Amino acid sequence: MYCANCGVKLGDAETVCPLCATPVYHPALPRPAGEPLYPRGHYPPQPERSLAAQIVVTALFLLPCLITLVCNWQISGRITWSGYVVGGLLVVYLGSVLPFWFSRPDSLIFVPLWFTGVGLFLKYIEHSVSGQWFMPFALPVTAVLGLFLTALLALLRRFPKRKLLIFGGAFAALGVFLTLLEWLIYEVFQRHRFLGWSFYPLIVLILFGLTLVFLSLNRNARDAMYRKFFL
Amino acid sequence: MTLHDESMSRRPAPRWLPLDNAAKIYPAARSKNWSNIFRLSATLTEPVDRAVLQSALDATVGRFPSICARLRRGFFWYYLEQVEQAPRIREEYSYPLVKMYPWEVRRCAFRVIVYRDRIALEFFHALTDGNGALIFLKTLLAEYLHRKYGIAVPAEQGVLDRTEPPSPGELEDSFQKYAGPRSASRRADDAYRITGTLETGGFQHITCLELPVDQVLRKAREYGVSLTAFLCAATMMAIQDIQQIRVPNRRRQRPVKVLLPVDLRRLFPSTSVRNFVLFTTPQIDPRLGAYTFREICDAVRHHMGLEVQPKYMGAMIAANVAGERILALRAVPLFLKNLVMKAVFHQVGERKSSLSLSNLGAVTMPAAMTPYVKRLDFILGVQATAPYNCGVITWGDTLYMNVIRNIREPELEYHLCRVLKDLGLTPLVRSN
Repeated sequence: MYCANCGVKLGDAETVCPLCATPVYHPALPRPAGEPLYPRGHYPPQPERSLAAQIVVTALFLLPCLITLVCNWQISGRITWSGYVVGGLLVVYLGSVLPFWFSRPDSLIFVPLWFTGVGLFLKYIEHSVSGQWFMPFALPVTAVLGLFLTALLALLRRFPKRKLLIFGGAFAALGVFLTLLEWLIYEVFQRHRFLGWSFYPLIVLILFGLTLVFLSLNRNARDAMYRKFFL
Repeated sequence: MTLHDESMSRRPAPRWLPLDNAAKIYPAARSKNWSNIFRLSATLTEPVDRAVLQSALDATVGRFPSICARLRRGFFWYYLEQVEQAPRIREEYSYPLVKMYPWEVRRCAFRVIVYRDRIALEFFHALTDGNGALIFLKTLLAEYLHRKYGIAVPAEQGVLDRTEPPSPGELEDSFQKYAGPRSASRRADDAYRITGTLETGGFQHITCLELPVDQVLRKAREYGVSLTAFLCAATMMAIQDIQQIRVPNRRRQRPVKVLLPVDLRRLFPSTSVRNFVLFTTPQIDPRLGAYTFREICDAVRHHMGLEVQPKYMGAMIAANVAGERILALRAVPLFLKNLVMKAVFHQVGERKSSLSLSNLGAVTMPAAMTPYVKRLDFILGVQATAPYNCGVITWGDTLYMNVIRNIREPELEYHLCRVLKDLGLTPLVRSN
């Protein structure tokens, strides 16, 4: 039998053309029953994921948590300094181990989740030391950084071929962010001057970001840079 | 060659061998989703008797201590250790070359698979190359046919005597012996790579093109090239067409390069059944303009003429063995070597060709065996980061060209069939 679409000669067992996916059928021609080259629909079992490494690493995280909690409880009769240790370890665990429990961890879920964890930890510290800095300073900084990184990841995923443009924009945005950060420090903590140190990274990052944007838009310049700096 | 056999002790330790020069990269280059394996299979005229095959396998494994082996880790190098028992025969799945997991390679680095009338062998490439595997397949088949039908098969045409011990020449690392006095340059351009939608669950498509070998040979002679060069040219033509469609801007196109393994036993007097293969990579540069089929044939013929000869291959071997002859490099712990070799393999090795096209040539067997063998197949596993590879073998009057891919789109096969059709060849297409 020949494929009605692409014209190749097909083996008797073919039900669709392997080259153009056209069903193999001719109303007037009887087809001899052919043996397929391989058994159809018989797939190897997928190996189960081993969770041993995650379990061991989780145990290694739990152990210092428990030891510090018990010691703190024994010495002070309540949870004081050990809260910081446990909170810090949980934040590290959230970012470095928790994603590996999943077969395909999605960075667009875990990055905001980690920043949420960092925010909660900072809130706990503020509560413990009776500070007043979480709402006016820590929350906006953590939230903006979280949103910034999540947006960066989402853009890289959506436009994988526009990396230079995206990173160029990201560097420029980082420069602006640092300036805003210094302004926030000035506003919240009543520092003596505004726009001190952040001016320098602002200039460098904006220039670098704009250079990347320019290179992403200009192929000749990109090639020239590659010629100069290839390894 | 180093062969360590403590035959005088009460319970002899298993034989072990250091990996040959070509094999050293394969264990390091393995990844979570890829291991370098290939398959050779023989389809018989009658269904395979599993019990007889298992007994034939048990009798044959001792003859091939370098192939019937498992991969073990030393502190500085991997090594092969002979397996004491033949592996159990396995069932066939819907696609060949199912991933060989590290734990499997540590137990036995080859598989025997039976499907109806077909005996298939799948090898981790560190054990042997296609020609070594072919000798093993022929010897196993001879033993099977002897046990099943009582025929006497002489030890000739690649069938080894199962009662004899392996000769030192069969187990030698011939790369060390035939390295030339100077090293050839390994500098090469990156090649165009076909891309597509990766199949899920590790599924691999096989498209087997069956062609009458006399027609292909006639056509190859018409263009003044060998059969391998002709098939290489047809594949390059197909890839050139694909690139022209996908990257219409000629200035942004990349060279089309097909890696052709070269059996060094034809150039050097080696009888090794281990890896003794290098490669040549004919190429065309579509940025210079579209090539006609005849121009591609000429390019391939001239390229092969320059490189496929003992002096140049000796220089290529010298370049490959130079590193492992430096004591300071040999003394680097294995895990560090692995890191470096993996990086080199992915950054350099794989990017230099669009795909591999390995032709094992026209296979002959002793006359007593030929009536029992219906067809042969040779399938290469896909490359680590490229979706295609191609294995060719000829048995009788039919050439079997197995194109494997792990992406959904059968673009290369489609264009290859079109090129062959334009040349007046009509392949019979079969798939899984």
